Amino acid sequence: MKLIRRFLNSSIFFLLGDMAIFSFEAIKNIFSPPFEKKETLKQMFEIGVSSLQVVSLTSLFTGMVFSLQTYLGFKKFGAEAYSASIMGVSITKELVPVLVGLMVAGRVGASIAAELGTMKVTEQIDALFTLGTDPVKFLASPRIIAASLMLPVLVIYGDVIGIIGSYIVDVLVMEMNPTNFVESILSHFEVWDIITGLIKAVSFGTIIASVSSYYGMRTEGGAEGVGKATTFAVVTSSVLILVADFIWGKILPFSLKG
Amino acid sequence: MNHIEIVNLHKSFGEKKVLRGVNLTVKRGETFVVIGGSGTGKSVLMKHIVGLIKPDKGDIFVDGESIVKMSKKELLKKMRKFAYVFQGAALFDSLNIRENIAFGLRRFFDYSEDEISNIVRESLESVGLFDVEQKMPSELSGGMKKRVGLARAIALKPEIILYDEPTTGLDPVMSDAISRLINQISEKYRVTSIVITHDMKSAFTIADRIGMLYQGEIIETGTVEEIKNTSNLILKQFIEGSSEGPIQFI
Repeated sequence: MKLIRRFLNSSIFFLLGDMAIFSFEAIKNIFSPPFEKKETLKQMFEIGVSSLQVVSLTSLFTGMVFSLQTYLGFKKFGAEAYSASIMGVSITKELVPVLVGLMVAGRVGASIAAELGTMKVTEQIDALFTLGTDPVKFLASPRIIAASLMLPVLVIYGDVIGIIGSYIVDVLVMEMNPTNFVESILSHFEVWDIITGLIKAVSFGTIIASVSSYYGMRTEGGAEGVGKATTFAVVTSSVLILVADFIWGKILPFSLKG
Repeated sequence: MNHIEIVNLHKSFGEKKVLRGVNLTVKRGETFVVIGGSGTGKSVLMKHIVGLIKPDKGDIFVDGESIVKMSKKELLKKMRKFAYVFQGAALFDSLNIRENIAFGLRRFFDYSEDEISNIVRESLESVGLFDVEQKMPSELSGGMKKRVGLARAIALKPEIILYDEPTTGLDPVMSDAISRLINQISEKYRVTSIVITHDMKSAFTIADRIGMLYQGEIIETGTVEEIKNTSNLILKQFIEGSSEGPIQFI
């Protein structure tokens, strides 16, 4: 009994519990007035527009390298004509959502944790409270809305760029017939693949914003504390994205066609 | 009549007992100064008063209402009566000076933009600042930031102002200017003020009454004259700023 109690009280359980309560409160606050429209739009711009560059590069090179390896691998069996068919599914369903999630966790998660962490150590978060403003509602909730709305947009954009990357390698480098490329991609592709990627993207956005806001708003101890909060935010978000990806993989059906 | 009453307040952080039964009453319209060494829990005490920290034991009453028992929603509403002047001013980095002062006005009142502009200008003028509305906090000196912090507080026309080390880190002339400003604000707006400081010159300038926090308790309270003539050796050592005496500093 003592052992079980000690196990439950251990720091990892406390941390996960505290993080879950914080996230629940922040998400619940999204639906109660006053709605922080101005702050939400500002965060949507910060998260969405500012991440375009990193998402473009990541998606392009992921599409290119995955295409190259698949083409060369399939060529061993004389099946290179089918290599593009796997691209549409894997890019939209798995590669782009996860890689965009990880890149945004690095870029946006770090920025959220550092900004809120600095606000915490300079007492700006306490100041918000004394000015009659709930800091969780004002700071965390708009970031969660913004990230969970903008991640799917970034993923759709990344899907397009990833397939362009794939086209560049298959058609321009490996000299595959363009018509064959398009036909091959469309042969095994269904809208559900994109929807799966978007469902994942919404959850990844929620994870990034709530975890990073949590670490930022719990920062203690000056500049060193801000540095630690930023690192923990990125690492925890990245790990949770990979865990969530697996869970979605198990829960969501692979195909809606029979 | 007591405006603020603190009863048997206890607070520990891990193994460290910071407050060990603080009892304190502050009358309406009074300026009460809490003195004490660094790390004795003065800021912790102050943050309890606005509900930023929950005590382990004890209670705080403002106008007879328990702050400790209030929900977050009730507390946020209650903040209308308070203004908190933070040690480092705690101005919002991303907002200019006008928006910093207007922030609370927009939250608590239904003023028009013209009315907000007038209140911002008047508040800044009353702390001796002109034409800084469009500047960002990073463009101001430490003393100017503290004065903007004061302007943000008085713009809300609060009943209670809490000052956390208002003169720390300022040169002696600026410290005196801030102390006089606190006096002017107390007289002009008839607010109840609690000031925490270890600057004795400032404490004697602004206080109606002074209390000393030592080892988690208020060990003595009194008027400026009573404190100056105290026979308490701990208080005496602190006022004289001597390293020799009963206060253990290592």
